[in-house]
Amino acid sequence: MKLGALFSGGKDSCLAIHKAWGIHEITCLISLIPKCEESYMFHFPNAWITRYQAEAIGLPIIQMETSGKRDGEIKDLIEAIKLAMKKFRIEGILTGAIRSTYQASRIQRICDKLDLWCFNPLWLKDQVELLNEIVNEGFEVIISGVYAYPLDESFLGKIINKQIIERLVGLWEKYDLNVAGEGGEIETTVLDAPLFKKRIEIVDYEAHYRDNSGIFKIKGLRLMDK
Amino acid sequence: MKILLINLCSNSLSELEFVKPLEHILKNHKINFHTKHYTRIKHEDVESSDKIIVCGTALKDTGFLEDLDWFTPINESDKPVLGVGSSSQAITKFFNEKLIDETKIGVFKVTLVKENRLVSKKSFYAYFLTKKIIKPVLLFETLARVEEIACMVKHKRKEIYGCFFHPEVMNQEIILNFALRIN
Repeated sequence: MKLGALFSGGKDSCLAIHKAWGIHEITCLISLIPKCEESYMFHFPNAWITRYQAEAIGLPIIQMETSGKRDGEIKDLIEAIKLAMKKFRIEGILTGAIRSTYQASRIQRICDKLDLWCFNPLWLKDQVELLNEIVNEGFEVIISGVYAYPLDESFLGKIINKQIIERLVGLWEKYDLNVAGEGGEIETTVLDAPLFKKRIEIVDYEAHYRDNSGIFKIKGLRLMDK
Repeated sequence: MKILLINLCSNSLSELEFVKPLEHILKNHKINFHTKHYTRIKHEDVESSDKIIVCGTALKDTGFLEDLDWFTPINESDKPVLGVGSSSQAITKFFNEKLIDETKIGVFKVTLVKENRLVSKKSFYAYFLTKKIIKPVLLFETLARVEEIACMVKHKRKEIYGCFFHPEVMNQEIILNFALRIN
């Protein structure tokens, strides 16, 4: 089946593609770039690099700017999916939704309306298991945003490895944080994964942190052979 | 105690979404289970199990509704059955209940209308992913409603339950009460 993958450039959408790879044909990535930081549905920091991640994977990408406002986002997503249906003849949508019934139900409704299959291979997956899976499968993922106390600037730009998972689990147990970040506590950016033909090297960045919130903003990158 | 978990997915990618979460709940509570695809269920799979849970599947996946013979050995065994999501359509259709086209996707408030052993809360929120609902008139009774629609039903004479929503998302206690309290 030809699928379009909703792609934020973070660990969840990449892991969802990794799981669907070989079962279905991923024909394109679909990425919405919110104009405002408070997007209800889409990943914000470093959204601009999704086009380079697509190049690294070797897939075409449909990128569409969205207002980041609740209703506007849904309309923009429908338009982007319609474009993918026309251009790449997709029969289904793949998402990295884990637990958000808000996100999942909206995408399910869109797929129902457009008569598309909807696949959510990470649905209800254990958060710690998910983080361990990305490390064990050889993903290189950095923390590109932190949005909740007590996540501080020391996490920004860090590659997710066993030590970081241990720290996050410790904070989860103490402060009831969503370790995998789907609650919006952390955002991630994937630099390399098994399905990437090239890896991303960051050549310039800025890190900002204030009032329990911070962003690791990638300002320059290059694609490297693996 | 052993549960037979029946997989209705025609697509292996959907299993991660509709079968794995139920396996995870049972595993976390150290409940013994084995999973089988509905097209491969054998008489001995049913006989060697104490209870049966039938998983749901994707909205566009409706092949399991076309031929319901797979449910015959389960019905004949008289073992407790819990249908989750779209599998409730198959179970109630097997008993000739009428299914009506009605799309419900998202989180909705459910109200209990009859006391039962699966859920005790008078009202609760549940995640729905269905395009068909039941209008029970023959062998099933309504246990809970969403708006005026039956969404949790029970066979009047058998321990056969159908949840037209997905209890694994927001109402795990329904799965556990079925696994641990229903005989």
